[in-house]
Amino acid sequence: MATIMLTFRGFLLKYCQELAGAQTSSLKKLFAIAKQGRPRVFEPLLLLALCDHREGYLMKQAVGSSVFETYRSMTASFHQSGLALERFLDTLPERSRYKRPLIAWRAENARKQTNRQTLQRVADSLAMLLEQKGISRAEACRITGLNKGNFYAFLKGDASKLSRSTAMRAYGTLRSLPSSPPSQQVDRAATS
Amino acid sequence: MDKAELISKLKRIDEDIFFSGVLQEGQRVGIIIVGAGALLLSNLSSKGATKDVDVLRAEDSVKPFLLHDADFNSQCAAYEACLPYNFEDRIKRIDLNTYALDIYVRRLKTWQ
Repeated sequence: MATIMLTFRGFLLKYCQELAGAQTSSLKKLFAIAKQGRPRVFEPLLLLALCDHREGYLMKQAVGSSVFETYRSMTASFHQSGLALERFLDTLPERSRYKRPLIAWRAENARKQTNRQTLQRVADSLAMLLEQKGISRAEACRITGLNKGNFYAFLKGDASKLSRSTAMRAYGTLRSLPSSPPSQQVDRAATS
Repeated sequence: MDKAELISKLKRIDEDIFFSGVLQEGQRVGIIIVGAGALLLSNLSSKGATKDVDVLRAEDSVKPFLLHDADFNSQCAAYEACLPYNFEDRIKRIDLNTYALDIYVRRLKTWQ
């Protein structure tokens, strides 16, 4: 399964929904939820509205609320900057609550990339492990219960064939096996 | 996040570190977790959850892996100022069956 990197806008919507505990894309509903006791939604919600050029609509929802002035000030600063939203957020102090969604988005993308790299390295490590232990790929599949086609493809570099948890389980199982004596390894090499 | 989610994150970071090649064969590094995350790992949390994980100490080689996760932070210098003298002798290891990370939290009853 290909790893899909979300756009910043896509991430903001998911972020707002998670913080609000509601699967809605309605700015009005999300704002209402924020007001009712989920204030962490306020900042990413404004960013989402800015992405969609609907900050005017959100400002109407915010009239009379505790965030109206902050919303107005942030929106004005953003428009005055003339920068794209992500660039504008980069100019904010690290501790700014409006910057946190950007940091979280970048962290999530970095995590997905790291995950892909780790899986590739697990595949390399598994291949080395089989050689060290003197285990054939077929035997490894029998021991770990893995599908041969998926395992062989994973070892060849198709990281999509095994989930991370399955790959790690296989690695842990095979790693705990005793290494075969050198004479057995020579025998296997001779007969392969 | 609850305890299971925290452990899952720690094990994932541990795997990333182990397979990254930044550590030598057989090398392990320790990290010290404080705050609500530590209580969670010690089964002492009344809430059963934490918003983030405060990492008091971690080697430079593994810090980027920890801080890659937005839920981990190392901004608890003020907390360290409140810890007793030689608190490093009063920590305990949490066994999570990890490959490279040794995870420590404060031991209960450190005044004894």
